[in-house]
Amino acid sequence: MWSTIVAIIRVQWRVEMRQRVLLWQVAPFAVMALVITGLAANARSIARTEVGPGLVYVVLVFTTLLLIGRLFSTESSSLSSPSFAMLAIDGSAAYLGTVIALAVELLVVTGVVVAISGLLFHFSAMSLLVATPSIVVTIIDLTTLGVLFGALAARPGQSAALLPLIALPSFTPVIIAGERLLTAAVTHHGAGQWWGLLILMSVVYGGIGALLYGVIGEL
Amino acid sequence: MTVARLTDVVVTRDAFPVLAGLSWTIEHPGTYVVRGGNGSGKTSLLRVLAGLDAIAAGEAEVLGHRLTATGRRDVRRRAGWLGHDAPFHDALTVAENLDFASTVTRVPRERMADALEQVELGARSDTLASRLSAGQRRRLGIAWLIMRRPELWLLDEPHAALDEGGRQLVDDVVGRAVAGGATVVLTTHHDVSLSRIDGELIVRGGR
Amino acid sequence: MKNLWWRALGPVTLISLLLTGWLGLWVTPRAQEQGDFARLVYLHPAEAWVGIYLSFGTAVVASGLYLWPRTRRASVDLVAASAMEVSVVFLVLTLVTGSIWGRPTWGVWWAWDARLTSTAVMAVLALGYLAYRYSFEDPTRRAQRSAILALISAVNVPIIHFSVVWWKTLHQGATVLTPGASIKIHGIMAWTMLLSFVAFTLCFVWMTRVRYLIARRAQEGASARLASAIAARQSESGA
Repeated sequence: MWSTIVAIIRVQWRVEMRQRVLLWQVAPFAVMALVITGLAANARSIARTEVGPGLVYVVLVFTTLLLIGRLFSTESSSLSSPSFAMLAIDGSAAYLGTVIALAVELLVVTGVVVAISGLLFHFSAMSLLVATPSIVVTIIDLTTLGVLFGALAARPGQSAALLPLIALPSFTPVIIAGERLLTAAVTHHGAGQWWGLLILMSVVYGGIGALLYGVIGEL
Repeated sequence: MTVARLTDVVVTRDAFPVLAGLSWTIEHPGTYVVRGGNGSGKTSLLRVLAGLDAIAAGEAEVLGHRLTATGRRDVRRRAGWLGHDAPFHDALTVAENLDFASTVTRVPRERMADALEQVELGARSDTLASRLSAGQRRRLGIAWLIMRRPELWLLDEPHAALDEGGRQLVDDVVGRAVAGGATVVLTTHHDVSLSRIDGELIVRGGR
Repeated sequence: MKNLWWRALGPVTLISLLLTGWLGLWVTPRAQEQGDFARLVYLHPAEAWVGIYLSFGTAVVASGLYLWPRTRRASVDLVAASAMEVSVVFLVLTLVTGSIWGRPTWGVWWAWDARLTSTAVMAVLALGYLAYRYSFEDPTRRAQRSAILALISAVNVPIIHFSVVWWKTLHQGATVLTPGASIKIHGIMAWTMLLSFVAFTLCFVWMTRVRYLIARRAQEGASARLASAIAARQSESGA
């Protein structure tokens, strides 16, 4: 199982190193989205520390959906091809490998977004450092959920709107918890109870994903 | 053991019956040719045998596995496929594609060099799959079958996109596989020059 | 006997709804602080009960039963889909009545408290299930995949249930039961509220059954069309 997980991660990274979609497309998209949402929310006002964390996570949610849509689109990968299906890869291993690979990519983009958000919304470096663990766990949650819903939504000719529609409701509690923890960090308040929700969702959805990913691929 | 037994199999795709009550039994290993016109259901038959598609009605057993969701996965672990699709990933090289496939299926990586030589892709092992011609992608798929040595080979129009040398290669590889005890089922529009054909099925209208 | 129950269900549902309406609008007294707006207590909690727990829960349980080999039947899948459609209806009603109730209480039509937000999320979740479900042509795939989606999405339901306790909220606290399980409304109001729960539960059963019967008829039509498509296909082979 571990060799399969590592093989899948290695494939994802090789593809990224060659295509550089993360570097040249996704990260610039995320930064631009952050600037645009900041403009739309009039973040130049004094409420920027209240507005900023939410905008960061809105951008990260849409970045996650973009990455997952790309991963599961039939144009960019061979995941749905008969040749790939004939490998009969263990579902749990495929899920975990995909989640880890995608989480690392998303964390790279998140690092860029959070650093830029510090500039745009005047978050202190120390507060962002304090927020880092919660950001990491939130991203892991988004990835475990996102890969699962991506597998559900992945079908040739499927509308691009279907993935966000089925994924966003389940993302909501994660986003709320992530935003509250980031806000708590930048405003120096406590919000410990949200950690429970984040960890609960990563454990529960990670387990569900490991169990069902292979099953979904059979249907 | 019977290789495959299909009884009144119905397969639907978007509510259209691509197979409409097909029955066929492969009693012994050997070479079997499936013929039929475009849209007759040849590829769909192969997909059922490969465990790629579920059946909507009828009974199907392949390599001793009933074609339930679990059974289909077990069939895919023992069968090999050569279709029109690109093998594995376009953004990986020839060697990386085979390396990935051998890792996840626990096929010895040592078979890769010989397999690539047999299909005359030895010099292209570091070429991205996306830069291969259609014929070379076919050869890559054949190389994987040579490495994997499945019990059941399912070849969908294996001579398509291949030159004379490539078609001869397919026939030689098929011959060696059958000599080694495998069952080969291939679809074709054309006459094939295989040294041995153990059975033939004409598919029309999904049966 | 079974048919008699089903035939009686519609009239009994109607009578119980009318009785709830009569009691709620004319018999029960006005509330001291909220006045006539408090009469929404005979609608809103029962709608939430049906939308969030009963119909959504039925859809999830039916989805689970469909995925279990021993109980896998097309009828079970149709029950899941029908219940989810009813859930959407009641979730929207919950949001509408909650919004109407909130306006004089909170001064705004929409307050971003956890309970209202979670209910809105559930409504989108249920709509997403339906959109996903109806994107499939193949009935078996549709049933299997939407069942999986329902089970995965069901994780949100306990989060909604505990949201009133977990988070500070603008929402009215538990209307009937406090965490210490003492009842907060009394007398005819309590009985009317109980009746509203019964009436809306019957309404859910009736609506789900009607929707199920429509879906079953549609499925029978699809099966007939598939049979004739198979016959037409077989005739291509000259059989």
